[in-house]
Amino acid sequence: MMVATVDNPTFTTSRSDADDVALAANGDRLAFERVYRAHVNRVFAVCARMVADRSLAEELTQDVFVRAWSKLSLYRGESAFTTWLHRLAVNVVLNARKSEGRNRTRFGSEPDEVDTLPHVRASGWTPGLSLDLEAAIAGLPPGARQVFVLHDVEGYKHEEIAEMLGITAGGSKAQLHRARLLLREALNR
Amino acid sequence: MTMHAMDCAALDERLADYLEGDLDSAARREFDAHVASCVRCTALVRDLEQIRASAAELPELTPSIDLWSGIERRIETPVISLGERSAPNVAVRRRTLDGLKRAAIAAALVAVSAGVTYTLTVAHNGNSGPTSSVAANRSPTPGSNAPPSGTDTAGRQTIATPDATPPTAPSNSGQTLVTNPSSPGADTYAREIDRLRTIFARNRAQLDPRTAAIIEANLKVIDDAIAQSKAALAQDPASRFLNNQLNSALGKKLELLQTAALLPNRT
Repeated sequence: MMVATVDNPTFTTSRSDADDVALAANGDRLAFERVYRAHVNRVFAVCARMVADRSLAEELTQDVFVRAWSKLSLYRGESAFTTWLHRLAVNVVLNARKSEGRNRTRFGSEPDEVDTLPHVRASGWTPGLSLDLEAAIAGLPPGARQVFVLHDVEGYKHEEIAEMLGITAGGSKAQLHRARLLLREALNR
Repeated sequence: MTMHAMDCAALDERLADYLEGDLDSAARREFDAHVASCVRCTALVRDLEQIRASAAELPELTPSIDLWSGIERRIETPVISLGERSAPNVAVRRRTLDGLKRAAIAAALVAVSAGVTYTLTVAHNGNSGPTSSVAANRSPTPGSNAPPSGTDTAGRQTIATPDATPPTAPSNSGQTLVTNPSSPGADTYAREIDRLRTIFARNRAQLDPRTAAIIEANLKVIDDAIAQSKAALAQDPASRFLNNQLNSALGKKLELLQTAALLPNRT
């Protein structure tokens, strides 16, 4: 059984990255650009997977880095910078979703009651083909998708997800299980 | 299919706990025993574990365009105006269009609100006419998108009065985010809200005290939201999220005040 071989994103911060973060916190825009270039793909990935809309994810990614610039002085180094930035990205996405709740089409108009997903392959699922999984994740109902991305892709714990989404840890577990079952169905169809 | 105590239905019920590692050792042994003897459940557990493992290995993604220029522009420019955006990238251009759209919506909302205000003011003052009511019976301001006399931006008929002062519609030049505290759009909102507040205060005695208290409590909640949004916008004036928040709060306040101002006439 083949599994994707892409390196798992690390939560550590390299020495030069830490230096750039410190310089950027003091107003060095060139250093902040280096910070941006080092982290933009990871930030964009979490935005894109959570909203299932690459165009919107690009806007949100810009928002994340603008917010990061204005809040860098508050970063004390208690956690790795990537962890801090990542949490900021998740908060920007979740807040944007709340603010645009009435504009359902941009954040996904599909109801959370969806029981099946559109099939993503004509034949059976070949494990390790991440493009299929990406497509299936994008087809999940918003609530299940957010929990799945935060837990299985990004590695947050249910208690953390519950706090971020304003649900219970049990609710997070239920959404995760539902998401996995929906994904299996979509990938095997 | 199986001779063990746990059947497929029971396994389905405990599957989420199994995958989360939440089963105690006895339940886990029972679970494993059933999986070992059931083709259906073996495939189910294998697939879900595979999905979990593959999700953790998903690669980073790359935006279709370099977002840095837009970010740099925003962090360098405390207040963004259309004139300064000589070469916006795709994302920034989309934001600009959103700003114009919001300005148009705000103008339409205020125009409709102005009609309500005028009606209420006339109703209160008899035929003497308002001294400062808002209507659209004058030529549009040069360069503005104000509609012709007698119609609002949505094309609906509005109440007109010869001596009325038209609201200042947000113009296409200069700052276009209507929620920018210093923008013409914000001034228009503020004027209209003040007028409706005056009407509400005047009519308050006619309302049920509980209704009035609920309205005032809701107004306070909205005012708090407006204040928080303005404070946050001062730190990040170009934030689409914050501008949406402020627009939404101002719209809600206008809507609530219109409803409140009309309440005595309905009862």
